[in-house]
Amino acid sequence: MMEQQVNPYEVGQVHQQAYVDSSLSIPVTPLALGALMGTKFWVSLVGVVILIMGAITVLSLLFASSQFVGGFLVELIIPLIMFVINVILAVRLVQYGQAIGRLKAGGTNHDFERAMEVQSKFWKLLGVVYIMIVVLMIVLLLSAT
Amino acid sequence: MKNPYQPGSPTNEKSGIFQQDQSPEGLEANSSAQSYLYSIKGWLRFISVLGFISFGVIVLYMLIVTFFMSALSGGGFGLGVLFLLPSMVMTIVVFMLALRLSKYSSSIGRMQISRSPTDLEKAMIEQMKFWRLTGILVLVLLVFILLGIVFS
Repeated sequence: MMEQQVNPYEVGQVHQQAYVDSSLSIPVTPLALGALMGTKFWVSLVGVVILIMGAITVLSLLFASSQFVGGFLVELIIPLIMFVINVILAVRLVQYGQAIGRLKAGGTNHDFERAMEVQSKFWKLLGVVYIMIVVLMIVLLLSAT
Repeated sequence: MKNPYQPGSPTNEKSGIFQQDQSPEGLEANSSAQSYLYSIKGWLRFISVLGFISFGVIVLYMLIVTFFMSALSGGGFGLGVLFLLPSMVMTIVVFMLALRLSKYSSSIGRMQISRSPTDLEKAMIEQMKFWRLTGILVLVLLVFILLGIVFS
């Protein structure tokens, strides 16, 4: 099978590697790194607890919903959606802890970048979840009045 | 006389004010890592504002309940305040969490303008304080759940 060849001198040929401007870099001081290391345990703990609590909540809701024939959607679907969101958030936190762990074990700039990436994904998802909660609360308030 | 060019002797880059900014093994927050941090600034501010609003709502609720409790107990505030003690602790915790997030967001904002390692340091310290407080809260919650299971 012939390997596909790319001409790097062709007009409009963009280099595939992500461009990182080193002149824009900010040094990570020992104090900043120490603070990030200090986050690892707590972040991992919160992530694991969210996972366990989510599993317990879903199991209890599933048990409760088996006793109700009606209201399947409210009793089962909504808790399941909540559980999935919880799992994603917990996984992000555990990933954040792991990224910090790699940084601790003599990590590189890429590991720091990875830690920040995972962290940003976590906060964005949490923000979206909060927006959904606020919208739901407003809808419930309006429907109640 | 000491030769400043001798290997191992301190140079300008490794002494004085530069020493504080020297990253361990040249670790740097590159433009990509910075952009991830800058992208969460708005979300952190949003979540912290929601936290402050929750704090206000809980305080208002507490004041109303305390008023009714004291009215029911014949004018004294003692019973109402005692009843609301756990809520007061929760309120303080919610406020502290929102404050930490707000400070974290502000530090990122300052870092975006100054591009200073000190602001990155402050941001990392604020996020560590936030997660430490959240972790302690989670541990306390777990202890209460375990106590509830044991004594039920």
